[in-house]
Amino acid sequence: MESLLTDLNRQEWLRAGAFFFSLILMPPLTVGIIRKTKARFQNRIGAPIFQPFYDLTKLLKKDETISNHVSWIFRSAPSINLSLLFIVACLAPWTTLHPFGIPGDLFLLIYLLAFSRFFTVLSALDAGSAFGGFGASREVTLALLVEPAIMLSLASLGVTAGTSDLTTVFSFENVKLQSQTGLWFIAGCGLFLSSLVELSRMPADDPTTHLELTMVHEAMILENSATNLALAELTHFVKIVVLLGISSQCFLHSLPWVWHASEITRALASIGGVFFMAAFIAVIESVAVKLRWTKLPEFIAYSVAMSIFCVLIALSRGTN
Amino acid sequence: MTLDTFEALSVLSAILGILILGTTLLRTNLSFYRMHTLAIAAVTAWIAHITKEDHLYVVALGVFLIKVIFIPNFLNWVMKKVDVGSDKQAFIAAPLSMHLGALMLGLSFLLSKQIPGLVGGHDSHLGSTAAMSILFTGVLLMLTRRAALSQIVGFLVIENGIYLFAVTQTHGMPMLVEMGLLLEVLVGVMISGLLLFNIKKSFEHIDVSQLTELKD
Amino acid sequence: MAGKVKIFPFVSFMIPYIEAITPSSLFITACVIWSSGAVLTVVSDLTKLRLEDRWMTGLSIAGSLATIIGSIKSYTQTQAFGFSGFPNFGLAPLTCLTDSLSVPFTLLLGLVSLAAALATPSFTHTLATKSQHNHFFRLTFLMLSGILMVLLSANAIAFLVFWEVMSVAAASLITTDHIRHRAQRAAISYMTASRIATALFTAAFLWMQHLSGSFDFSAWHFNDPRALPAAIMLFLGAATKAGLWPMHVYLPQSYAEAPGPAAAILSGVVGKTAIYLLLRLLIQGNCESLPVIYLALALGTVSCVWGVLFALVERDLKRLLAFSSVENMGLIVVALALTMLARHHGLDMVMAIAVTGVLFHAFNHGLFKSLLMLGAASVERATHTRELSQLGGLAKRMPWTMLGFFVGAMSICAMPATNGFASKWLIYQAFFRLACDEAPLFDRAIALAMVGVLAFVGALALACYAKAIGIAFLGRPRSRQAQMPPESGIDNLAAAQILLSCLCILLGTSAGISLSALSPALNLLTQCSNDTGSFFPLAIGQLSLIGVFLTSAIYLIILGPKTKDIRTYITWDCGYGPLSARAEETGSSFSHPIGRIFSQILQLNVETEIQGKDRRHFPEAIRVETKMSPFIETKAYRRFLDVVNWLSLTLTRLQTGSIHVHLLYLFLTMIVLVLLGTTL
Repeated sequence: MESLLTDLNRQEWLRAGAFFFSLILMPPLTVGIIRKTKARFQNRIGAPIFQPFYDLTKLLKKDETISNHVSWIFRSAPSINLSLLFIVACLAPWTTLHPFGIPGDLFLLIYLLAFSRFFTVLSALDAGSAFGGFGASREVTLALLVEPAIMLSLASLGVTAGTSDLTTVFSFENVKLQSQTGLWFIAGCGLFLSSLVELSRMPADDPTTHLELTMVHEAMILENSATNLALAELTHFVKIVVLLGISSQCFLHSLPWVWHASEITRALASIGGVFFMAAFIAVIESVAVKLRWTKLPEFIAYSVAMSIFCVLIALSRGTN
Repeated sequence: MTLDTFEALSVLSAILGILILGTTLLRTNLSFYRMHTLAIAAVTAWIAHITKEDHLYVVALGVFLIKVIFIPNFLNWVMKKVDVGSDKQAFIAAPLSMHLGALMLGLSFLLSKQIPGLVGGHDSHLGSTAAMSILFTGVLLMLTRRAALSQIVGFLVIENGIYLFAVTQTHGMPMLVEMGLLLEVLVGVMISGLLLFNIKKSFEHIDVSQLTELKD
Repeated sequence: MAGKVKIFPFVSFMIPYIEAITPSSLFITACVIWSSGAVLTVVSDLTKLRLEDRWMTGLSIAGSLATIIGSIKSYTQTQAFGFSGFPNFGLAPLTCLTDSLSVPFTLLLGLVSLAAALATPSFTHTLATKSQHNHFFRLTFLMLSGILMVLLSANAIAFLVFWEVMSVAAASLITTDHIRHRAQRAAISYMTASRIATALFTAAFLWMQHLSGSFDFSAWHFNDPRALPAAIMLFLGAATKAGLWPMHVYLPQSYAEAPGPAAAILSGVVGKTAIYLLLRLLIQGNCESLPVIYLALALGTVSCVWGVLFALVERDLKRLLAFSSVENMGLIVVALALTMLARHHGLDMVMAIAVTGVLFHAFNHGLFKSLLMLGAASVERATHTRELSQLGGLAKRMPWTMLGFFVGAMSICAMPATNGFASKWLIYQAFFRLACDEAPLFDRAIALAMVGVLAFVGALALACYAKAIGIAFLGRPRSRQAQMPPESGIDNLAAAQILLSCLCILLGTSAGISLSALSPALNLLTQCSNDTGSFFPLAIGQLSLIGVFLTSAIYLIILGPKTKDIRTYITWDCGYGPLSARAEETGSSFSHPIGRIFSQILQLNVETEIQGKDRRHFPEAIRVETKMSPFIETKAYRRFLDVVNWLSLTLTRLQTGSIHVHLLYLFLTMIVLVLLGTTL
């Protein structure tokens, strides 16, 4: 009995170790993969996959320049945002490595993300630059359109499972969810489309642009430099991994074989899923163009439509 | 609730049909229409596989060749000729009409429960849901859009809905009827495509809402 | 206990005396203190006595403390008392009751009035004359005692009497600065709304009295189908008082014109009395009729969306806060409707969570909205303007106000670790559970849709308060008024804000524990004996500790060591030259994208006029005007007023002025009355 306990414990600790290892390692790596894939599509060799690491360490070493109009909001926002995103990463089911079975409540997660958005927006407005203001205004507009879609997609999964705790919903244990291939797939599509917007990726925002007038996320962190910028970038990387991870988890749940696979296979599949999504984003960014600002609501409407389909499927349970 | 594969495919085709509503770009509309019809062809083929009725394979092939390949290509060509890229000023904003269409899917789910089974043992609840929802989608498309090309797409979607209903409920009509219908659609689309040229030539636009003098 | 006695012999000596005090005596003490303040102001008006602000503030604080202690005492003790000596016109004696439902509301009153009283000395400088001073204090005192007694009323007659005291005092409090036309208009519209609410209440009360034969609230049962008209009238009256759409039009005017501390009480507590009445009658009286439920759901949902949309495009800081009150009232009413719906379907758990959400959100909204109102008052006092386009850069000049406003904004946007999150989470959870439960398809669909609507409203609220803080407090000053000297330390106003912000954070981080305190109220309302603390299982306290720890670790390890090497420089301007503050994002440009998306609702119009020969590349002058005409105010109510005016003009023809005709009217009326009396 005792040996069993320690065995379980060891497994649990191993899992937690793997989780934190991937939490540290994966965010920059994912961005590296996106950049590398894009470079290959453009017939370039591109920077090494580990380039985001080198960029971050370089930024951490540099000295900072800040605007002389900023207040404590700007100084504190990067550290608050990063710690918020770490908490989100520990609560959200973005891999199957989720340690210690910490319950990750759906509404808490969404509001934690909103919390970090609140700080990002305020720190963008803090320096009093016109670009920061643009970026902030666009960010809240996009968030406003995307948030119901994310909420409804996840909530309909939760309603089908009968709990708002996402750890339980995504745990491969709920029999009610096992047969819901369509629901998982559509929820995954909706979440993926929403995360494209939420993460300021291509159809919504061009992350490589240097024209301040069209940027969303880059415009908001325009005043950040050196250490401050490194933290803001890292925060964004973590957000990319978490949101892509959640949508890739949805896709993985829609594949019946994953339900019967062993735990290690699942873990590998979920990490591979994130990388696959990253590569997929790179493909999209290579073939698609950035949409005009006024056309964006039409694009987001597709993710809202997906969430409506999710709701319909969740409601149809138990009617016949 | 476990889905049969053909039911899943027909719901997929309904969803793809609803996505047609989401944009006013005619090219994107046509590509969604292509995918939507592809799903319907797959449904037909799958039903052929279940029921072992070989003539349905031929019908599926016909649907694929005519509705997935030929008609969208033809309409793309027409679009280029009349030089209309998007459907401006829809009556209801495109995103909104898509969400309306999504709600219609729910409504048709409720409605299709009221329909008694047509042929004993064959009736599929989700199949008729999908068919009805496609029907609604087509009607919405025709109601909310102005350009004559969207009207043609709307008509095609409605036709798909009726076809899907027949296929899922009765598992296919005789081969002759199916082929006749397909040819009729083909001819209809070609005629309306040619009509478009004339409309464009005489009025310099293809806005249907301005063609109000269809009376004595 | 024994240890305590040893350490505090003094306290142990007092304990029997303290225990002997009943809640009712404390509440009456509070009332007496406040009323005596009001009497003093009358005396001061009549004589040469000049009342020091300190005395009046002291009285106000004493009353608030008595209220707070009274609420704490009545937590364990239900007590009925009355004013049997009062003339009651043969209707019913004015009876009062302290029970566990009134506790959260009286406690809220005590806390908010304490904060408002603390803030008062900072405000009264701006009042020029002695009579204005006296007017302000008198009406504040009257309003406070009115609210307290409204919350304690146990029967309809007492309720109506005190309700009138409260409404009239509030309306005339708005006109403290009575010379301004806007204040007059605000007071008139406030009065109108109160009148309508009172009329509806009176009608509903009479109906219920007719049904049950008693004026006692406890004797009324709304699960009787014959009580439906009364329930609808009650709801509409309360909706008017709480400011639900479409009766919300008076809220922005009156909250914006009311003097600072009074605005805090008005927005924090007065609107909540309507919620209190709904809880007391509809929920405690087991109302479960579907028309009321769907009416409440519909009006509440529209209010949520409407209020926050208008708050977002508003340019006046206080009006923004008032519109956001409309949103929050909508939220509370939606949860209230959900309570009734869950009772209708017999889902006890959903009902318990929803009603806990109502109670907690009403309490929390009272705290953070008065906090925000005090912040706005502080801004107005320092800069003499409430226009967002004139403000900017206040974070450096008013650090304490900024901090208070920031905490308030976080709470109202339901950021985790604040009290707003806990109560909003409960409301979310209630809808979510209903969608999971075995309810009819239609109601489940509504519940799941409401989850989406709430997410949408939450995102809008976030945008709205990001704008309020970002434009008013961050960036650079946009006018000379905003470039005032920095605020000097913590003054009274700042102290009041700090008190309220501490409460917000405390309630948020210890949400589970503070929610448990609502169990008796839940038990009273729904007969559920659950522990309300168990509805909120999130370890929010631990999470906020981890968050604070992580944040400070990241700050100290990564950012801190480099602080000395930081170079400050101008904000990035593309190398174009020094940017003026006019290049900053303004309030209207911040909300413009959202305004454009919802231009149909907001009736938003932008007119651009470019002058000059080469208009495209070298314009000489550009004039841009954004116009917004709220549909309800300009179209619906205008029509209605036109009809009323036309009717009254037509009816004046009846008033001929001739005494004979008037006598004829009298005679005819008598005949009609006699006929009615004999035939019915």
